[in-house]
Amino acid sequence: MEDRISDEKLVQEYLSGEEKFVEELLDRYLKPIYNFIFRMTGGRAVAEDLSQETFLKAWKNLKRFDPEKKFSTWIFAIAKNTSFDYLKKKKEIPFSVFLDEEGESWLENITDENILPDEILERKDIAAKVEEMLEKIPLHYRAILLLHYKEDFSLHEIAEILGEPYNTIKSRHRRALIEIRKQLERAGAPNLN
Amino acid sequence: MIIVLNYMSQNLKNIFKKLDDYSPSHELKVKILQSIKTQEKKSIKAKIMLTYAGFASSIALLIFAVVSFGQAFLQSEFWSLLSLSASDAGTVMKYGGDYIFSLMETFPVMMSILFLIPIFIFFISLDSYFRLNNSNHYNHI
Repeated sequence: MEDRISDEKLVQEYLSGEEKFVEELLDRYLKPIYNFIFRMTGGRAVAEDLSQETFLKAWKNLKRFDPEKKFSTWIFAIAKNTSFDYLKKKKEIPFSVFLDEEGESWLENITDENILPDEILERKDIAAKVEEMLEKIPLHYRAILLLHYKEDFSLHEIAEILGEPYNTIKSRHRRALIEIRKQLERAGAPNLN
Repeated sequence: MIIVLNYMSQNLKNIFKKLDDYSPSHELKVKILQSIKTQEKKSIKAKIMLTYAGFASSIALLIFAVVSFGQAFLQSEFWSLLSLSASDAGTVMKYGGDYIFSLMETFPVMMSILFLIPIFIFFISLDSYFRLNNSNHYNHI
């Protein structure tokens, strides 16, 4: 596992003429990118088209990729932009985001450690519920949750992917967790106030 | 509090890891590789066209320069001095310093540039042609 060539090295090798490395990059990222786009847009055919578009854009701009940065962050940023552009065309953006009154009052009254207590997280059907409510929460929240908890990006990296300041992402992450709790409570979990 | 937050975060990570992974169709990878190859072919074709245009324009420019300024160059003082080195080499050797100075003084800079530009374009095109030839994985040339 330690012998695995880094993504950044693969890009450099590809640019110096080793064609096979583009396939290796595709093998590494096709599934995560496809899953991310699928969950952002919600359709198999759309996810396939947008994944293809993402990789083609990445290939076209490979020379501009800075090898000092992480390739995964870079390609997920392209995937996010491709998804958001598609949703904008479909007029699903602007999103109904976070500044509703209810959300704000929640933010003021809840402490971090109580956002999602164990009673919620240890429910047997929690994975199914989370999958279900991911479709219902605003896209900016969904992107942060998927990138952070599913793809293991740090909040700093997510800030880079989404092109937003770190503090914005940090506060959106918190609001996203609150949104999950609200959705879970709506779906029948015990009220934890 | 940090421990509690980390625990919650870890719990959430475990939950998200349990979410089903959707698999793209087997054709998707092939489709992506094909579209990359198609784009690559297009890009190589465009570069080849540019190279050929470079060859053609450099030759056309060189012909234009020779036709328009060739006669004037042959009648210039510089050319007379230069031809002296072939006809009277002894005198040229004797007054070498002065001869070189006179050559430099009469050197037709503008005319030389007019001749050198097409030659320069020709060599750039030649370099581009060989580089494309060496990196041509799809045998377009």
